[in-house]
Amino acid sequence: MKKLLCAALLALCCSAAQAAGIDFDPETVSGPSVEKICMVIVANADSQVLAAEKGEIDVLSDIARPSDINRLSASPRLDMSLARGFHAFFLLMNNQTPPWNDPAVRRAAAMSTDRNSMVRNIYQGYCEPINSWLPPVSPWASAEGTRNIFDRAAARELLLSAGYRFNYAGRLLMPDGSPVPAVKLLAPLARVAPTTAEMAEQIAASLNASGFDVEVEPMDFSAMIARLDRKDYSLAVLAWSMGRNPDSLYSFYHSSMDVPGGYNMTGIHDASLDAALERLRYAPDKESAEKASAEAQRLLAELVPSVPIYSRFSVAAFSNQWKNVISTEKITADNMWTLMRAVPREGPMRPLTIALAEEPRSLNPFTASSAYSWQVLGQVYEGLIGTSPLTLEDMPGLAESWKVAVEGAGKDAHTALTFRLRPGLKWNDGSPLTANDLKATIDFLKKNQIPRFYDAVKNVASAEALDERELKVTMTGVSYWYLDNVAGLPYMPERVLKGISDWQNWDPLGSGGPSALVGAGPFALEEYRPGEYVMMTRNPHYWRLSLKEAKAR
Amino acid sequence: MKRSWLLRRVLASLLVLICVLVLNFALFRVMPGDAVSTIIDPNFSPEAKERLRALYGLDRPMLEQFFIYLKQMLTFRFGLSFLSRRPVWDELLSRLPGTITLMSLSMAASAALGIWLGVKSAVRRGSWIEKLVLRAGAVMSSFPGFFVQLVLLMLLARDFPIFPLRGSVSVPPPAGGWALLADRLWHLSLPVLSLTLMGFGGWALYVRNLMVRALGEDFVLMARARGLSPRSVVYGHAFRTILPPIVTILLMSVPGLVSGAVITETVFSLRGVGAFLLEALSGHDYPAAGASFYLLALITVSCNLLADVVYGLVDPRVRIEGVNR
Repeated sequence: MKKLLCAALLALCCSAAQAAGIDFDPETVSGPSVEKICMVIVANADSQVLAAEKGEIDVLSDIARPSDINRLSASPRLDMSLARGFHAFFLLMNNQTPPWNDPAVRRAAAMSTDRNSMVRNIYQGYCEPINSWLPPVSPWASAEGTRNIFDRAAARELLLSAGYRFNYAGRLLMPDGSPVPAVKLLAPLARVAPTTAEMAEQIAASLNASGFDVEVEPMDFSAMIARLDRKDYSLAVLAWSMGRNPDSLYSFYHSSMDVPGGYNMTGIHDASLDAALERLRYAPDKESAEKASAEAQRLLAELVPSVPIYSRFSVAAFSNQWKNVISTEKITADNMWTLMRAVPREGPMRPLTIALAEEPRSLNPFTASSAYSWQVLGQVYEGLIGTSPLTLEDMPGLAESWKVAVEGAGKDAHTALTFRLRPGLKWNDGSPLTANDLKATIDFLKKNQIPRFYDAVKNVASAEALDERELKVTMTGVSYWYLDNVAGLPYMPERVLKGISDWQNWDPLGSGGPSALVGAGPFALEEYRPGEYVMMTRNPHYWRLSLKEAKAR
Repeated sequence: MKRSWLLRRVLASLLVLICVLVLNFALFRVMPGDAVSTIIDPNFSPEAKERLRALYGLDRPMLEQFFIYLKQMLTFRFGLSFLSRRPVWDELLSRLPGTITLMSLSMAASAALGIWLGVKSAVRRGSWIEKLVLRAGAVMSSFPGFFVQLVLLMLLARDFPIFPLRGSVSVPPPAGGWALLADRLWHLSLPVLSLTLMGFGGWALYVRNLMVRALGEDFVLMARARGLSPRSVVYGHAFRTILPPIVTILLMSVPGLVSGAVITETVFSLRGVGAFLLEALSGHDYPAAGASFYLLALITVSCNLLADVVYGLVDPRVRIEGVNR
C-alpha cells in the first residue's frame, strides 16, 4: 500500500510539474514578482515541519525524512514538489585490496545488492535506486543509470566463471581455495545517520547472502573519512552531492586523484579509464565532452570501482496560498523561477517566508562555505550563464551569448571564452555593470588565490574587457569545463573590490551595512538579524524586470 | 578563613585550568579529520584544500600551533572562527546574553519551584502533595529534554498557538522598546517553561530528602518544644541547615547554563552559545570549540572555587577539615 502511495505521489508531483511548465519559457520569464523574501532561521527539523504546518513559513526545502514528507503531504496548507536530485549514495570498495582488486568480484557485488528493496524498506520510495556514477537527473547520465541489475544467480555464475568457488556453507572461496577474507563495512554511527547505518546493514546482508563475509563497523564520520583517505578500509558507504556536469568523475576515479585529500577513495588505477577521464576533463567542446563522458561511464560500468546504490529525491513543501509556483521533474518548487512568477493566491503581495535550516555564519562571499550562506548569497550574485530548469542545460544569464573556442595549436593550444553581456545591465545599487567589473572580479580572485575559487580561476591566463559588454577570458590549456568555472563566479563591481584590502576579514555587513553586498542577482540583502532571519528585497535593477517592461510595451 | 587553605584551593584550580588547556588543544588535534579533510566536493581540489588548510593555520608545526593557541587563550583573543571568519570572542559575546537570560531564568524558576515543593512535601509527609511531587518530579526528570520540548511545541505553539514556534523575536520585530521587550519575553516563555518543568523535579526530590532528614533532628524538636511557629521551625531552623548543599548545587549548576543550552537552543531555534558549541564541534572549528571549552572550564573551576569558599563561610567544619588535612 505504501509503495502504491509513494508511486502515486511521485506521479502526481511530476505531472503537476509538467502541467506547470506548459506556458513557461525560462528565456523570457520576467521578474521577480516576489518583492521580499524572508529567510527565517529554524534550526530543528521537527520545528521546521511544525512551522510549515502552522503556516509560519511558506517554503520548506530539502525534506529528507520520509515521515516528514508523509506528514506534510497530509497538510491542507501545503503542496509538495518532488524532483530527482544530485545526491548519490555509493558502496565504496577498496580496489587495492583483495577481494575487491578483482573487477569480477566488484561486478558480482554490484549484482548482489538489492537496491530496490533497500530503497523501498528504508526510504519508503522517496529515493531512486541507481546504477549510474552520475545522478540520473544529469543530462550527461547514461540511459542505463536506473536499470535494475540485481541478479544473485548471475552474480554467482560470474564468480564461478572467474575461478571463485563456494564451500559447503555457501561462503565464497578465492581461486586458490582459501576463504575470501572477512571484511568490515565502515558506516556512520546510527545515532548520527540512522538511515545510512540501516542501509549499510542491508548492504552487508545482501553481500553475505551472496557468499561474502561482511560485517558493519559503525564509526564517527571524521574517523571514517580519515580511513578512506588512507585507504585503510575494505568497504564503506558514503554519499555526496554531484553537479550536473560529468567532469566530477575525474575527481572520483582518475588515478592522479589517489593522493591524500583527493577524492579517488576507491583507489582505482586503470589506464583506459584514466584516458577517457582525461579526454572528458580536457575536452575542447561539448561534442567531445559528450563522447568522453559516455566512454568514461561505459568503463565505470565495466570496472565497477564503487557500487551506486541510490539517489535521493529533492522534496520541498510550498504553501498553497501562493500561485504560479514552478516545479519540474528536475527542480522542486523552491527555485528562482518561482520567485520570478509567484504571487499570493489572495490579497496583496507579502514577503515569501523560507525556512533556513542554519544560520548563515558568514556573508563574505570569499570565505562563506556553508550551503546556508550561499542560499542567501546566491540571491545577491548571478552568474554569466544560467541553468535551464527544464533541461538543466546552459542558458543565457547575465551574458546573452558566449563562445568557447580553442586558440593556438599543439602545446600552445588553449581555450578562449568570450561572453557578450546583455545591454543595460546594472548592479543592485543602480551603477552600470560592465565587462571591466567582470575582469576585475576574475583578477581579484586569481591574485588572492582564494581557496573557494582557486580551482575556478587557477587556469585563467588573462581576462580582457574588449568593450563595455564583451569579456574575453584566455585560459591555459584546453577544457570545455572552463566555461562553467568562469561563468559561475560571484561577480561584483570593480569599485567594491578596490575597497577590499583584506578579503579574509572583509565583513560586508560591518563595513557599510547590507548595501556593501553589491551583486546583479534578483534580490539584495535588506537586513540580517543573526539567529532570527534574513530579509531580502527585490533588486529594482534586475535585468529580468526589464524583460517585463519590454513585454508590456 | 585561613589564607593557606584559600591559597591551596586557588593553586589547585589553576592546575586544573592548565590541564584543561593542554587537553583542549590535544584532544581536538587527536580527533580524526579536521575542518578541511571532511570536505567532499569535486570542485574543491586537494590543492585548494591545502590552501584552505594554510588559511586556517593548520599547515604549521604542531608546537607552533600550540603556542599560538596558548597565547590566544591566555589573552582572551581567541582568533578567527574557521566557519565565519569573525573573531570568536565577538561571536561568543553576541550569543552570551541570550543564553544567560534563558538559562538563568530557567534555573531560577526551576530552583524556586523545586525548593518550595521540596519543602512542602517534606513538611507534609504522606500527604497527596508529597506523592504528587515525588511522582511528577521523577517523571519530569526522566523524560529526554528534546521530547518534552517538542511535545510542548506541538501543543502550545501549533495546536493551541499560545506561544511562538521559534526564535527570540517576531519577524519582523515590533517597533518600540516595551513592545520589543514584551515580544522577547513572549518568545522566551516556552523555552523557560520547558526547562523549568524538566528541572524542578530534581530540585524538589533533593530538597525534600534534605528537609526530611533535617526535620528529624533534635534541634528541630527543641525548636518545636520552645513553642515556635511551624513556619519559623521549618524556614528559620530546618531550612537554614540545608542551605549549604543547596548553595553548592546552585553554584555547580552554573556551568550547565551553557552546556545545557545546546538542545533547547536547537529545538526553539534560539541563538546562543549552546548552538554555537555544537556547530563548532561538528565543523571542527578549533578556535571556536577551543574557546568555548576553555570558557566552560573557567566557569566550572571558578564556580567550584566559589562553592568551596561559600561552603567554608557557611559551614566552619569544612575549613577545619581543610586545615587538618
